[in-house]
Amino acid sequence: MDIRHAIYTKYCSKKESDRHWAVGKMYEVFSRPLMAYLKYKFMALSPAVLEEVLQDAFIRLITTSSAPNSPDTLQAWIYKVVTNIAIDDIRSSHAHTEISLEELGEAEMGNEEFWASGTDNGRAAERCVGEKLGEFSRRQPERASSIMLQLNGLGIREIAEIYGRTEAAMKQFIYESKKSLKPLLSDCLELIAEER
Amino acid sequence: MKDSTNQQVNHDPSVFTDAEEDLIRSRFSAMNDRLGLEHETPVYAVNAFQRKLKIAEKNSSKSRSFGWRSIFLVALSSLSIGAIVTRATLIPSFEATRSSSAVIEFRDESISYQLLKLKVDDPIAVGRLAAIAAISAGLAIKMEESSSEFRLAIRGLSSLSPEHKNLKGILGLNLSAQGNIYVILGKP
Repeated sequence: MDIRHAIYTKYCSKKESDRHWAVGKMYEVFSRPLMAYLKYKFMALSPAVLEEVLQDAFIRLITTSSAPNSPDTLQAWIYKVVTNIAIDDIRSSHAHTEISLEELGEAEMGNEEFWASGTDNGRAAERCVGEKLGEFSRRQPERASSIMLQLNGLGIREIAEIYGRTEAAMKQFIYESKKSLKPLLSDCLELIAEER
Repeated sequence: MKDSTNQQVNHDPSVFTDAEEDLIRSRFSAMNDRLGLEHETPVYAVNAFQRKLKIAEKNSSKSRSFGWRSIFLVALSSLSIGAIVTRATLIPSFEATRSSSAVIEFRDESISYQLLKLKVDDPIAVGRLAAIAAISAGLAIKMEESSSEFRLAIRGLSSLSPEHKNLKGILGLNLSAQGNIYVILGKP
C-alpha cells in the first residue's frame, strides 16, 4: 500500500488515533509546496510565521467535516483545504502583510548582493536569471510561484487546487506567466546563447 | 514530468527551451534556499508538528472540554518548573463547539510576540489566554470568586514592558483605578 492509500484509509477511519496519524503524515509529505506557495504570496512574512500558520491549518484537518473522495484526490483535497484555511488565517491575523509587498523596496530579493553571495557560482547567465526572477517574484508573486511549482514537478491539477482554479485555467495562467517572464529574461537568454 | 493523473504535462515548449527551463529551475531553487524554503519538510518542523498533534489528541480525548482551570493549572505548573509559555493557540474547530481548547507551547525563550497578537472573539477564551500571557509576562494574577462570578485579577499592568503592552489591547478591558484588570471567567 503506498503512502497515499495508507493516509486516506487512516484518515477516513473512525478511530481518532488513526486520523491523527494520517494528519501527521499529510503534513510531512505534502506541506512543502504549500509553504513555497504561501511564501511567494506573502513575501513579507517570515518562514517561521508561515510554518506556524501552515501547521495550525494542518491541525485543523483533524476536525474538519469534509474528506477526500479517494486516495487519488487526497493530495488535491489537502492543498485546497489547507490553502484556504491558511490564507484565511493570514488575512485575519496578518492583514498588513499583503499590502506591504509592493512597499518592500530594497527587498532582499531585489538586491544584487542577494544573488552575489552564498551558492552563486558567478556565472553571468545564472546571476542574470536569478536577479530577474527575484524582480519577477517581487512584482508578480503568484505567477512566479506557479512557474516554480511546475518546474519543481507538481502536476497541473495539484497547482490548480492550490490556486483554486480549474486545470485549464491554471494551464493557461502558467503559460501566460512564462510569457510575461520571458521578456524580463531576454538579456539573460542572450548570455546563454553566447555561451554555447 | 507527469501530473497526478499520470498524463504527460504540456510544458508549452514555445515559451522556454528545456535548457532555459533547467536554468530557471536551478535559480528558483537557489532563491528558495535564500527564502528559507526547503524541498522536504525539515525534521524540526515535523517534530514541532507532532507535538501539536499530541496536544490536540490529548485535548480531544478529554471530551474536548479544556476549561480555564486546566489551562490555568498548566500555566502555573509551567512556572513551577521555570518554563515560560511562549505560545497559546485556540483550535478554532473546538471554538465552534464552545468548549475551547488550546495548544500551549513552552520554550526556553522570552514570551512570543505572536501570542500577544492573537485575536479571539470569545471573551472567555481571551481571558484564558490572558492568564497565560500575564503569567509569562511576570504579572501577578489572582483568582477571585464571589457569589455571582469567577474572575481573574491581573495586577500591575502599568509596569509592563513596551513589548507586553499589547496585553491591554487583547483584553479590551477597562483598567481599574489601581491599574489592575479583571477578566470574568464564569459563574460558580
